[in-house]
Amino acid sequence: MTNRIQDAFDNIKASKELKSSTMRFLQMEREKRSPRQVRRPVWRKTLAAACAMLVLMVGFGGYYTIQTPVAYVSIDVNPSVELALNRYDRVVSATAYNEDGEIVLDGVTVKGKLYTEAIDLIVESDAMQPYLTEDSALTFTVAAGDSNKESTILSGIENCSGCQEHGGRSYTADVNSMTEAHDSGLSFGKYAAYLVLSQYDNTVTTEDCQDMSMAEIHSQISEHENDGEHTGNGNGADRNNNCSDEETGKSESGHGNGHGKASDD
Amino acid sequence: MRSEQETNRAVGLYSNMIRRICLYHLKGSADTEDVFQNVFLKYLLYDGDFADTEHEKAWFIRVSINACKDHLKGLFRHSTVSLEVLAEEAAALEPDHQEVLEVVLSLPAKYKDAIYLHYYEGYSALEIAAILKSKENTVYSLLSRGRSMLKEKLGGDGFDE
Repeated sequence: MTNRIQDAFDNIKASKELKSSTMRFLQMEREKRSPRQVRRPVWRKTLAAACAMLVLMVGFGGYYTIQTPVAYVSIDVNPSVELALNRYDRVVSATAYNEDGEIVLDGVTVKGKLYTEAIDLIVESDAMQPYLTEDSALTFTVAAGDSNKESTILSGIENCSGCQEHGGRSYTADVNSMTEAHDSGLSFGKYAAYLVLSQYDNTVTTEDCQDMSMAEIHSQISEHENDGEHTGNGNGADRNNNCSDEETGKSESGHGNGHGKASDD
Repeated sequence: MRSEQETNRAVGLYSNMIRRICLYHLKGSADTEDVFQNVFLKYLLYDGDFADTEHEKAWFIRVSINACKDHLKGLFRHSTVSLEVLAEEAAALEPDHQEVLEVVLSLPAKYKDAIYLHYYEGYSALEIAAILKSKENTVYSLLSRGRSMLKEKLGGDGFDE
């Protein structure tokens, strides 16, 4: 009986038409699906990857442009603070180079602000007021490695109310001196003043300057200049302009100095 | 996706078997063509590997049975197979063969897979249980009941296990 079932079912076969129509159907399905499932994903994935790369590059490029400092402003009275500016003149970071500077930066948020706004905020801050006396020698030093940029920033600073009201002076400095300055624990503004002073007095050290206010350094420079012991131009800071028409007197004014270094990032 | 060569080989190898499974599940050649396309399309898109041709054959049996059941479900058709389907084959069939097929086709649906796989494809109850994802004991009872019905209707002896 097993044979009867086998014999009976042996007669049942798929017709040639059924087989060939199935093969045609499969071929159509294969063609229909291959562009979508095999080829398209390749260029789609490539395109997607390219788009992602582009977005990343534009994003990273933009971020890089915004975050890369191209110029620096050192603000020194006794508090020493440095602002790093991006190509759009916005502050990307603010760093204090002594404890007084830290206190000043703790009280203000300058990141992302135009440098002129940042200078006004810092100079007008409560923490800065005790240092801004008549003879405090508020000093702005600009370093950009590009003289056009430096003069633009200098004129911006000179027009700041914070600079004008407190008789600040502005200078430019060699951007390459920044590393040496920071290694010595000084802002590059104070370091530039130290370089000038050290030409008159080779016994003065950066450590001495850490403990001196800008008024004290400037006062010593003035004494040497008045003594006629001037032997050449400073290779650190080039004197530029004073922000206000009135000349501020320079006299010693003692302030406790610290050597701290902090950032408000 | 499988190559044209692979699918053509499978069509050549398994078409007759699928045709027979369709015969005892479905009503006519239009349904059979649908199920054929469905089964081989699944094969075309199936990414898995088969250990050997036995494994592949068992896959085709299972997919074909499921495709037949799905087809009937999808169309709200009654799963009882009309003997009209044999009319399409009648010209080529000897009277004895036609009688046997009629009897097999007239069995309740749940017996037909076990009977076909055992008596035609030669699978053991254990193998059938694996293919149908069923219990071995269930397959034994399906075969036993199915065999009794065949004996009753065909009047013959010698239905071996």
